[in-house]
Amino acid sequence: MEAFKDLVNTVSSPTILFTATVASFFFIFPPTDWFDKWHRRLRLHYLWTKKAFIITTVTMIGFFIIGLGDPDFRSIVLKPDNVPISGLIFLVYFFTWLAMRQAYKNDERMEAGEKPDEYYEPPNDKALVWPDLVYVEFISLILFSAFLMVWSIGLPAPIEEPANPTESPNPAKAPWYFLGLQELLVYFDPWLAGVVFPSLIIVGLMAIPYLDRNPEGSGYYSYKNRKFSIALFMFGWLILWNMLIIVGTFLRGPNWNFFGPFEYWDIHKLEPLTNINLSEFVYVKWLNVGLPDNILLREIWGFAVMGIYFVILPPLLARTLLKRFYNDLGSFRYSIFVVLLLTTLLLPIKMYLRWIFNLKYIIAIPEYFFNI
Amino acid sequence: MHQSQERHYNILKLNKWFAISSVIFTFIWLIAFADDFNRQWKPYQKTFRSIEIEQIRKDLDAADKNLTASEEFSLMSDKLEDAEEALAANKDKLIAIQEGIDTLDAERYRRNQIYQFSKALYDAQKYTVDQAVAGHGDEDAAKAEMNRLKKETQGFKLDLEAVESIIEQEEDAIKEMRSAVNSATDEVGKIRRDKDLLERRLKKTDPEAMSFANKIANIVRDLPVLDFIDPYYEVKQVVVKDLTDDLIYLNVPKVDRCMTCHVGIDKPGFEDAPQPYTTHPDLEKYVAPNSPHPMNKYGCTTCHMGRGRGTEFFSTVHYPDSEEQKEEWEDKYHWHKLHHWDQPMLPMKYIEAGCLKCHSGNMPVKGADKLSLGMAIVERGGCFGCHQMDRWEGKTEAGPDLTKIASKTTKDWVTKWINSPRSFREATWMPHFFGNTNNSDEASVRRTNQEIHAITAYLFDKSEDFHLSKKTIKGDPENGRLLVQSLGCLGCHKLESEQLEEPTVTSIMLEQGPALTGLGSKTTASWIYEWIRDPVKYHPDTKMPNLRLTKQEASDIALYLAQDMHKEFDTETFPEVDENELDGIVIDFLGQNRRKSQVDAKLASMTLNEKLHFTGEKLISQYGCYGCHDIGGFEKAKPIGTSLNTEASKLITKLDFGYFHDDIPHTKFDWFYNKINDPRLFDMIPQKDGSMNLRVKKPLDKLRMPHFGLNNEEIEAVVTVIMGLVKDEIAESKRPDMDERQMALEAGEQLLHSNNCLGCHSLDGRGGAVQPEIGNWLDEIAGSSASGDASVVQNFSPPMLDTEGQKVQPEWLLKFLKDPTMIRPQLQVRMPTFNFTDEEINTLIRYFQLKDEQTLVYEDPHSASKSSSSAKAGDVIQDLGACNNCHFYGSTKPKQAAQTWAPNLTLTKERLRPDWVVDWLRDPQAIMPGTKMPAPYLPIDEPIEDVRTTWGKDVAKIHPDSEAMLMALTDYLWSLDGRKDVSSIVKKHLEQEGYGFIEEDEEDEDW
Repeated sequence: MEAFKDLVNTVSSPTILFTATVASFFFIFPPTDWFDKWHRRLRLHYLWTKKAFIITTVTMIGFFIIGLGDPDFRSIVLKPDNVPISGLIFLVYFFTWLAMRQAYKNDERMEAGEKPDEYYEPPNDKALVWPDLVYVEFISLILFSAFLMVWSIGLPAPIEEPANPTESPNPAKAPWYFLGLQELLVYFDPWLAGVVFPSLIIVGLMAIPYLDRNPEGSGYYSYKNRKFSIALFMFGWLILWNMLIIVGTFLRGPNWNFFGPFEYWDIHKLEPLTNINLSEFVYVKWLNVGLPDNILLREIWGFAVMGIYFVILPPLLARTLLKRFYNDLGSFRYSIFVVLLLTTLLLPIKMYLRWIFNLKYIIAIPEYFFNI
Repeated sequence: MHQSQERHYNILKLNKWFAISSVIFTFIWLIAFADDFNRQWKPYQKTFRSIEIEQIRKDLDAADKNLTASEEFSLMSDKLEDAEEALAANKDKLIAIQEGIDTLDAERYRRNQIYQFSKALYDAQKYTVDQAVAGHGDEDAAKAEMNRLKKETQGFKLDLEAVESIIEQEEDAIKEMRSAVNSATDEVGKIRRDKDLLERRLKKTDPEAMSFANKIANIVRDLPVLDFIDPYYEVKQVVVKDLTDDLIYLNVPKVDRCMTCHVGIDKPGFEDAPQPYTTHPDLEKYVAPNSPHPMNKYGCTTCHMGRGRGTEFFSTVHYPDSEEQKEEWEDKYHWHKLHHWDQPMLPMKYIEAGCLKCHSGNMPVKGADKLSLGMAIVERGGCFGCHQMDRWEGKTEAGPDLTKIASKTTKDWVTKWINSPRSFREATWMPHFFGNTNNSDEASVRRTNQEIHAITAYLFDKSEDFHLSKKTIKGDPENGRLLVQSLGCLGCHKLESEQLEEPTVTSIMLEQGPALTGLGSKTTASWIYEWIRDPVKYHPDTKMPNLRLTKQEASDIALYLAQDMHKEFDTETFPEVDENELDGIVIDFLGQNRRKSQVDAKLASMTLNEKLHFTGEKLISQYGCYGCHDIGGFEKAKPIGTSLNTEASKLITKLDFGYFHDDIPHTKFDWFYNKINDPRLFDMIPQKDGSMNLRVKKPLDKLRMPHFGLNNEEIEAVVTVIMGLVKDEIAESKRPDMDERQMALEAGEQLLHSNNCLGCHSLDGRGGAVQPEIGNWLDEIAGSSASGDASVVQNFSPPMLDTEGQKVQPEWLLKFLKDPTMIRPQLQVRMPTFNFTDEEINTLIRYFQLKDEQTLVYEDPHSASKSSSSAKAGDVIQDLGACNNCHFYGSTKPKQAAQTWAPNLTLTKERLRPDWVVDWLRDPQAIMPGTKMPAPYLPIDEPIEDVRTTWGKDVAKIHPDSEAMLMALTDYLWSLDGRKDVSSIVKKHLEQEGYGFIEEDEEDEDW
């Protein structure tokens, strides 16, 4: 048992967890034909069968049951605040599975020349608000209220100690729905993680209908028709949003240090602080000289990197990897799309740069609170 | 209606779903109500109700039996019956009168109404007249009308009064007829008052005893929803506005709801009921409305801690007393510690911590033995040397002066002593800095051995000269032994050094000074001689007083004490100085603020002695040795420990449980307990097999608090003190009155405690710790018949200080404390000369005076001339009483042997207060229980004629007034003149004749 717990603790370290998830992600949600080929070769499409669902769910439940025997796991998971996050794991998995199953079924039907499951005979593109929608919503409302009442009776809201302005809780955690953003604070400055990224997320989500004008797959579940879009969205939704919330809830302990699920939240855990900036890499490590006094000269390398990333890379991609998109979207929509895409990718890239090279900032101008 | 194909869902199916979900919702809605209604405290109140009913019924039965047995009651009952019978015989008449009254009443009502209406008209007319006078209307007509109305009204009034007086008469008649019954009923009611009260209580509590309507109400008042109006079962609470819970920046009034479940806490009679219904064990002091700490003024959590607002077992933060109770609670209540409340309820073993909040000035705190023990330990152990504690601000350091150490002992002894004090003296208060949990491994020991050498070297380097006589000391150790036993040394020192299983405030008095063991190994006879001759010369701040020893006495004692050697300790060897190892320490200290090259250069330039001196100095400040000792060069150093002033209010997150978060319960008191039990514990990592490994720490970063070797009882006592050190602000109204008297008492108590006065004297039944030793000495010189008799032991022990304030004149006390002289010639025990300042002496005098409600400092000095009639009468009476048998009269020795001697009576007039002398003479036992002094014989029962012929006219004049006779004796004492200092006579007598103990039991009883 101890060996199992140690193994889980090791696996849940951020580097391994994140690498494993990202690496396997695109084989599970293949964005291109090449990935799709491997997806099928590795039999990963079986993930969306009922059998796989049962096995996965049982495994997850089993993990929780076994885990609850451990006092450290128990104290974190059973904290009334954290119970919904455990629920979130199951719910997100269930709905992802449901949607994917439906999509795969439809894909098969369409391949066989049939219409999608949601297609009605005679063709009918409308449903009545009353009774269909309102009635179902009303029933859901009643059942959900009943469920909330049971929950609040069974798991009363915790009374904590009197608030103390001189003693901030350690770890100080945001509400669960902001924990993903809080996780970003580890890698980015507050103005980026707290202002720019959340705004971009909203703007980006609003922009989707204007960017993605692919009429296929509209009104029914389907994966094949919009592989890339779904894979990209799922990456943002599952990895960059949900996983960061789960990590923030269960694996971040005192001093925002990383703790495995079976690890005691030791306030004294020390992690070496050896992160350095890109400028220090260039001048101190490679050129063996001191940092120049001139800020612009000092940070020129960072500006260059960011310039390449956001200015040179998009046209390059337009000619190579994203040629199809460029052709479909046209230059204006393409530029918006590619900036959003690159910004999204900035997060995993920055995470890896941090883990592998201890890179703190690409551009670091603390004098003007401008760090990227 | 809708066409079926337009629908996505089957409407019938949806209807079914709707029905099912509505039922589910309703069901859960009811559950929510039930959950809200079923509070954890309700069953407790229900159970208590039935216990209470049972109790009332029992009391009622007893009251019933009392009444049946009571003759008075049956007498009165009979009387009542007779009266009632008599009344019944006149029943017809009574009814007739009553009927008459009823009729008349109707008439009165009618007439009253006519009168009232008429009066209203008259009043209104008065206004019309005023208006007419002001020019609106006909003045004369209005006036005429007014007069008419006035007359009419008066007429109606007379009619009314006529009928009223008839009614009154009739009513009086009824009253008259019923008077016998009424008075008998009152009498009976008085006798059965207790029973009636019980019955009323029963009717309120017991549904069975209720009327039908009340039975219904009893059910309805506690129904869900309706129970907001006036429920029987309710949350009971006490709100104390001026005591607050500190919620950080916000002090909210204390609201304690403990009595919601502890329903019987303030009701006597439930002492044996199970928890939580039990009555408070000490209603005289707490909870009861007439106690000094009534519940509605002080609440519960003020002393007990915990969360007063909670109404559930868990949310009130109960805390178990023991492991067994914890398991029981876990079983019964699913108890676990609520870690969101920083002040859990104090377990009974620390409960006295609550007293310290308000009573910190007292020493001891009355009724709080454990707390007082803890305070004594804190003082004796010198905790305040390192940890700032305002309660002990400015107290003398706990350890001896080390500035002249070279004259006292050797380096070898010092190294071995520092290394392990308890192997020299088991019960020493010097704590262990070395050989502790975090520095016992081989590498640490190698290092700490050199540290000890360094500290020793520094102390000896800094040691100043102290002149010791070169002459060999000659004397008689055997006599020295007797002197040590009899002079009172053993009021502060012990002759052996063992740890006590159950220490008390009194037992710690005997550890005021070090145990007198192994002194020969530690020092020399000549040092002891110099020290006991004048302790202040060696240590200016010492608490050791001067016993005014003669040279011979001092020599005898010095030789006796120096005889005792600690052989085992002497044969131990301590590793030599190892320069390599020492260099490591030097480098660590040098490296604190130097670069490596500078360190190397500096190290190379140092000689071995310089290294030792340098390291020693650094180590003394590292370990804070100067917190307890005077050490040259550290006169102004600051204490090294955490301030403990508000330690118990510290957030628990500020206490580092290190790797023991699973092994030590997460409470402040458990942390303090473990910290004192093993101060270095948190430098360790516990292993599964029970052993411990060191954490990786640099030697200078290791925990430094030394190990005091306290036992469980002592640690709990100290933790009790720490748990009482809170920052709670207690409102003026809730504190003991800090008036002049209280402050004087507190200052006096502290002074008595610091100087260990009660090591020898007893006061209020406390102290007198030396008495067993006096018994041992008596045993040796007079045999067991003397030592076995408590009053003989008392007679040879230092005097009781009870009533001291009423007893002695303040000015005399001042002189005596400055320069003690012989009072009780029989005593060997010697009142030492303390180096009290005038301020301290005044503190003591004020303490004794205010304690005895003696508010005057200046009084008329009593005087009586020898030739006064009163003094003459006194002379006769003293002769009758044979006072001279025991008392000195100036240089006139008492007639009896020295064992019964008593104070010189010529001292009386400047020493004692005449009021007290009269009280004393009246009944000595009342003032000093166990005293040998008999009450003098007063010839008051003899016929006056005999008195005149036998004892003369002066006595006859005051016969048979015993008070006057006592006053006469007092006047006689005040008229006495003669030699005051009889010490040389006593000395000579004792040398020649001894005490005159006769080793036969019968003789002893004759004294």
